[in-house]
Amino acid sequence: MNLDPLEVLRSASVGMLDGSMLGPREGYEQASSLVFGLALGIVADQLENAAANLVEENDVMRGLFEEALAIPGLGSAALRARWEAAGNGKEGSLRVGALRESNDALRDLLGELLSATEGLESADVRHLEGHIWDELNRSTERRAVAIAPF
Amino acid sequence: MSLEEQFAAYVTEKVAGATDVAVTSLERIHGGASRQTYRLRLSYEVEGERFDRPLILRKDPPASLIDTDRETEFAAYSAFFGTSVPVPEPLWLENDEKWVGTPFFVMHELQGFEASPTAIGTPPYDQHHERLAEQKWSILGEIAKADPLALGLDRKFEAVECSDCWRRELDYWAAKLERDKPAPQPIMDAAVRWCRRTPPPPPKTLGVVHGDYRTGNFLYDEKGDIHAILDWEMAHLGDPLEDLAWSLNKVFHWARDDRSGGLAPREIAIATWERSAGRKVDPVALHWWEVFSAIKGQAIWLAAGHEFVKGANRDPVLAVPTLIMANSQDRAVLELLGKLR
Repeated sequence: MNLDPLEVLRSASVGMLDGSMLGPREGYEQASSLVFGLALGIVADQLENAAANLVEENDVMRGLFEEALAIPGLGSAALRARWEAAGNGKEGSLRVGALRESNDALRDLLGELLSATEGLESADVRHLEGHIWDELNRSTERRAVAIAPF
Repeated sequence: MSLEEQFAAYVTEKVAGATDVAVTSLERIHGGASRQTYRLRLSYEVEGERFDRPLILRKDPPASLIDTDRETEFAAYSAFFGTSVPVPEPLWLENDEKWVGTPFFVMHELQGFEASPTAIGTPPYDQHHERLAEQKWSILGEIAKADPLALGLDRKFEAVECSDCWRRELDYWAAKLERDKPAPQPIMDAAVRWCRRTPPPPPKTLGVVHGDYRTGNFLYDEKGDIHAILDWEMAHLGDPLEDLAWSLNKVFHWARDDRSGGLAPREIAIATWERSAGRKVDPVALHWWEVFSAIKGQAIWLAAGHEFVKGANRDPVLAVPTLIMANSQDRAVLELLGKLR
């Protein structure tokens, strides 16, 4: 690739932030340019790692569904069938859009799995719940934005 | 017809006997994403006397972060103007779209002050954080002890039982989160379930809740004085702890350290509020409202991105909250639920 699209985005971000791209602006226009420059920079950073993060995240979630299936009696038959299907799934494409679609479906199911573990006392379930929260923590680390306040 | 001409025509009709009406120096400013905000100078003559004043015109946008009601905001300004809670003087509320194309309201512009949540961390403002914090949470205490009946806000804001404050707010914001989320929110969904399982103790009395009380929504000066509390569009009746919790939300830790609102440690903020409000904080209730504030925050940040992406409002200020705040809000609720590793 002769021109890295992420570098184009980053350059546009800097150009918006320092006013060199659209020329000097004042007041509302200047503030909007700064805000949009900031947005472009964040988008570039997020895209840089998007595919790797989504592949990693999707793999971990599939593993959690397999762990859930190993706990007898957890979840309804219908839910267990969905966990099984999700656990056996594979990425059909490395396109970010396709990975994100899988990620959305898996995170939706992960939310249902977490809900199914709440209020259950068995050690296996507590162990699984801990693993789910571990992954939800890691997912916030993967999505972290450098300039975020927390 | 330009906005200047439209507004001048409005004033000519609105102010009895006004002649020689002139609107000058009109410029759009970043005054929050919920309204299009303009600064302008209005002058006119009535019976030989010349009036000249700086104004703020807040115009309904095509779409905004929240389904706000301009009447709510105007009612709050009207109720608190002249009290111990500083607000700009509200002047006119206009619901007829014929004047400037959308409903709007107008208030006096307090000039020469700063509102930015980032500027407050830089010189000369950073020398006055203690003073700013004292005023910020003292004023919030004043709002907490304000009597909605005495202010006439019981007739303007929707009534709610003390025991039902939490449910009404949670139902509204959880539904908004569900409607506007661009992707599944397993962390926030868990927080919503937690809130429903463990409702907070009700407040002893109903209070006025600002609804967005944070650094960034007040005007301050170079000596560390606060001159006005702004952005009342989410004001309502409810548990005043809701505001305190919102002010402590970690996504507003602008200095990226332990200071709430970039100003003071939470213990100082809470103690200041308690002194001013004349009541002790119930830590169980405050904790519940902090979890709730994370849910409400996430609903707002995601709605902002939703509006931007679908093209309903292309103000870039709508895209940034989702990009910057949403993940922070997830982290904040992980911590509040005791799940942050």
